[in-house]
Amino acid sequence: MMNTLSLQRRAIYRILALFLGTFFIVSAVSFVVFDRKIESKLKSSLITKKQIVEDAFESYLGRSEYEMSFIAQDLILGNYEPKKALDVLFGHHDLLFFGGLDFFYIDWAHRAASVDPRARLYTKDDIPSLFKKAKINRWVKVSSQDGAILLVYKKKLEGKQKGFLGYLYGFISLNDNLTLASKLLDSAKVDMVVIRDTKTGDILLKEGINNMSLSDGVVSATIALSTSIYDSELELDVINSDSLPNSLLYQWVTFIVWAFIALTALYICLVLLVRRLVFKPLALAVGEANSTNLPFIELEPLQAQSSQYHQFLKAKERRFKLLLESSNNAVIFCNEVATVGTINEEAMRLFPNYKHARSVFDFTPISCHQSIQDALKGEVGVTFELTFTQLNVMYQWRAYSFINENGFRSILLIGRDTTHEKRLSWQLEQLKPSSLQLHRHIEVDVLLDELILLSRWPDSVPNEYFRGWLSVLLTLLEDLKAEDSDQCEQSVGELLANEYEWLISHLGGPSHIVHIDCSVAVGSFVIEVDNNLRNLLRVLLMLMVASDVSQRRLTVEFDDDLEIIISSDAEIRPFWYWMINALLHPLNGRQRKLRNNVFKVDLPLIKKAMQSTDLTDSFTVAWVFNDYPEPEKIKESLLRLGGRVDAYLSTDAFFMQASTVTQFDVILIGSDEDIDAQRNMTKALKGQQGRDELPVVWLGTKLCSTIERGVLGIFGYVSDYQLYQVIAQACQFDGITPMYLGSQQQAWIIVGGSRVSKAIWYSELERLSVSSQWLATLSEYGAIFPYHPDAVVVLLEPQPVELLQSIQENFPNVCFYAVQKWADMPDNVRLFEMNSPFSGEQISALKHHVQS
Amino acid sequence: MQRAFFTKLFVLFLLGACSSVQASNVMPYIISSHDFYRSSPDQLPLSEQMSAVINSPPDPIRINQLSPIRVAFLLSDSALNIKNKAMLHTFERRMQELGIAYQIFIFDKLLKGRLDNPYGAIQQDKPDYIIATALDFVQSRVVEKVLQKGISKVIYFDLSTPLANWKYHPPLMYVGFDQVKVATTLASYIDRQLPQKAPISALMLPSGYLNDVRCNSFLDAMADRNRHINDIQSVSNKQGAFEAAKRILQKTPNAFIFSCSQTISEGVVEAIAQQRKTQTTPSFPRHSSTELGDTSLFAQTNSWGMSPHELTNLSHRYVLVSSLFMWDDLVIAMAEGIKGNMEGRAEPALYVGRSSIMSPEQDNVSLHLMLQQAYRYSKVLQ
Repeated sequence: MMNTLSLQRRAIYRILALFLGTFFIVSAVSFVVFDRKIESKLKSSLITKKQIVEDAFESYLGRSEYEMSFIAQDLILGNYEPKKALDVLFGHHDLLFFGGLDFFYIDWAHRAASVDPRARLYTKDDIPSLFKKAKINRWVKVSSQDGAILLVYKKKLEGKQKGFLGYLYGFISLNDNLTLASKLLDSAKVDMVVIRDTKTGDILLKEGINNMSLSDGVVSATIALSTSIYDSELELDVINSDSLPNSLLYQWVTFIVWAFIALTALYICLVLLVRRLVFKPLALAVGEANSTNLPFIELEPLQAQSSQYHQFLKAKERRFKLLLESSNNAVIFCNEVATVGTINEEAMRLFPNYKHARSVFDFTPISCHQSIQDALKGEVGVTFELTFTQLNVMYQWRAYSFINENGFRSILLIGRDTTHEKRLSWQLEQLKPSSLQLHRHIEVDVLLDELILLSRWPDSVPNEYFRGWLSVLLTLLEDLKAEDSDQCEQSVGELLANEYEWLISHLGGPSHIVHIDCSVAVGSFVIEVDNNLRNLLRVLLMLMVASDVSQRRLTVEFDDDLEIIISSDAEIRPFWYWMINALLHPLNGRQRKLRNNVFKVDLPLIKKAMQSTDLTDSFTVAWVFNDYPEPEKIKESLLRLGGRVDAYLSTDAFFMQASTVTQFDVILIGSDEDIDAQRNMTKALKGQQGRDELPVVWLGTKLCSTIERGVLGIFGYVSDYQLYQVIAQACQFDGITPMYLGSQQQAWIIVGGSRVSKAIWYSELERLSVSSQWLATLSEYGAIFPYHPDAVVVLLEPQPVELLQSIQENFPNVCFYAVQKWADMPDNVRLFEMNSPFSGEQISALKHHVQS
Repeated sequence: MQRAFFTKLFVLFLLGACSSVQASNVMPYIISSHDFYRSSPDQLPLSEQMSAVINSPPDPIRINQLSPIRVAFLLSDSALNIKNKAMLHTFERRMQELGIAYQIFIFDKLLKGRLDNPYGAIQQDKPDYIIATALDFVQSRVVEKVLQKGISKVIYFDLSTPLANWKYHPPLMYVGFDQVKVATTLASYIDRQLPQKAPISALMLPSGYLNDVRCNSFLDAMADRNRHINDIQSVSNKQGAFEAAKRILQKTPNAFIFSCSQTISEGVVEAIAQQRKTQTTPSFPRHSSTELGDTSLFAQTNSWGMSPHELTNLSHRYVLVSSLFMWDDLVIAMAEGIKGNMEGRAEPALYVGRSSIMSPEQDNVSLHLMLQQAYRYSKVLQ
């Protein structure tokens, strides 16, 4: 959100900034102007001073000329002795010492020249060489070798009577003349004067007051100096120290103060004016925003916009009202503290006391308060029902939370009149479903196709199967037509088992193994079962059992719905589709065809209960599989159930084979065709244990009607659930302790031999009550001999010498008996020669021999 | 202020005229042509332009005159003086050639006091142009007054050094010769011609403008060349010069006597001629150019190019060297100045005429041609 600004403050600050800027600019400009003014004033005064300096210089030259004339006249008129002329001159005229001329020189025409003794003070040069360039009646600038810069004036000494006497030369020193310099400085009151020769750039005269330094700020003016010096171009620098005059500062500060006062006054006036002319009317106009006519043109668009918004909001409000009243729902808008904001007619009718209530909680029943509070806390999907008995109506309320214009969470309650709806649904529930449901009409074409297909079945299929098949079909169709349904509660596992049993009883055993996966958890769910579900399962199981080339697998899972998945290699025929659909319809189930011929049925069933699945943490199972097909699957199932499994090939193996297990909780005996094996073993165990109730379970692929008393059994398919159930039952009996026949006696271990030989030996040893174990070779002797350290080993076939010797070393009590002699037989093998075929007598003789 | 300067100037002139003891000095009051051109650089092209006009055939005036212009000539001495006659003749002739209608008013012998109130007399004729011919106190006073009133335009003849005091009311034109330059040229020539020890004397003019500008410049130039001048005397006329020369020649018969003006030169030539006659030296060379180099054997002087016997004097070796001024050029410059002024063109404020020297080394034809050139308009009078 953007920060709001005060327009007035902004305007005032902007104007202030403008004025401050103006003030600074004025200050800066005025300072520069004052500075320039003062500087130009100084410069112009310097120019005037230059004129004064020039005049002073000229007057100095003039005075010197006058002195020259004076001396010349004195020399012409005076009749001085040549040698004393100078003395006399000086004696007569003291002013010569303080005059303009520094020294003079008289070049007499007819006698030796007279030299002013002061000349030596200025230059050591030869004077005549200096005045060679001198001009009559002119000042000429000359320079001596030793750096003296002089002005020389030449005057003719010529008298009317005496004629030409010679020349008088007067000299003024420029660079060594304090008198001249002081006069120049003094005349114009400047701090420094510099006279420079423009042609050569030499400084002829430079003099300043004592503490004058050029490094300080100075104001200087360089102007050409016009003098009467012959053929000279001189420049005069007039320099004054440029100390910022206090007057400048004072003037400037005064100006600035006045400027500040003026600008401040102007600023205040402007601000007041702006306030009065703009913001006050604006404030008034805002107050009268709703009035039809605003006095200012500038605000008209704003007003138009505002009124447009106003109209827009009004229209929205009207529409909202209309919607509220016409929605046939009770609508209540509450604010963040549940106070009723807006309420429509219908809601008013329901809650006539709302006017006297402070909040919505005051007039609504307590039962719905929690829901309203939940909605106020921001929960979504809050619904509740209210019955208004006095009005004889039912309303289903839905609470919506929303953020109101103040930013708080508020609530909207919408109540829908569900009276008629409920009433109708109740009525519908009372009505019986129609017997003529379309989906139950059989599709004849589909059935015919199925029957045609049936006629094409191969002859190998037994007639019983056809009969069974047709009877099942008829039963299913009959049940489909039936309207009443037997309802009972049953667990999924039991249901499956029952239906499978029913189906097999009609069709006979399947020609192949049926795979039905039903885990313990799924199988133990108790559901409500009716004919439709039963029939559906029958159909699905029929698909499993039906004699097809391909094998199918049925998996039952329970997620939210009961899912039954059939995976198969071939597609399901149309008749069965129709049948499944017809059965699914009343169950509200749905079927889906997935990829790879996987067919899935979803049934929305409610879990009524769950069977207890208590089982001892661990149990030991002896799995004697005999000719049972796919014994590994049973073993995997047992392992899944948490059992310890010892698998045995046959009954004999069970009895013969040594095991570390001390007690078997359950003994599973499997068979396919050889049903006697189960019976024999059970019998043996009963005999062995000396009791009839044993934890023995028969597993068979075919239904066995003659199951022995006290024996549990599973026939047909085996699932985890069934296994679990049967093991749970079996575990109730006492476990079986394995008792090897050889445990009390000396163990006999028969090695090698043909089947016939083994059979003879076995039966004979049985007869002799000798427990025996059968080994093909002795290579794994380490697994046996620790249990039978004093075993009698009968070698029906020759064995390697090294092996026999090493066994003897490890187990010295083991006795080896060979029935045949063979070459290089070791010494520890005793020979009890027998002739093949072995006879009972021979064996009996051997027993006696051993025992003796 | 200005008046005070003028008064001072006049006092100096008066002093110069009356006193021979105290030499006056005009130098501070004049501006040399060199300084003038330096301070006014725009004048130099105009001056060169004028030189071209003077040496080219006359171009008649291009405006229609409503009435003849009135030109007043101020002459210090007689109008019949050969110098003045030549000037007037040349002027008239050039004016005619230029097609300017004019009237000439001549005020002569001003220095001799012919007019009681020269300014009043001149004003009566209301001249458009006044031509002053000499810087004496009468003419300068009249000109000063005219310049102050601004009634007529003034052309100063034979004055190449503008007066500093008239800086703000200058005459229309100054025309004259660079006397310093001539003096320096002469000194240079004489220095080269005479042997190092040759005796030199100088006859100067009495104190005044020409003395200060020309004579003193010669002395300075000789001093600059380390030439010692034995005797310096001031003479004011031909007779004085003759006598002074005679005195000098008695002392040093072979002296070179510098004459600072044509009048002095004529006196000196006379004295030399007389000396020659009395001595009648058989060895004196006559028209022998082979012996011209030995100038120390006999007395000689110099001349200023205005003697009727200029060439003779040169050939007789009375005169070692003669300065030749292009007098007619000056007059033509005046006429052209008036014409340009009438046409409204810019004219140079100062025109410096050409000058050269004539020496015996030059042959007669050349010398004749030089004279013809110098007096190309006024030669008819000679």
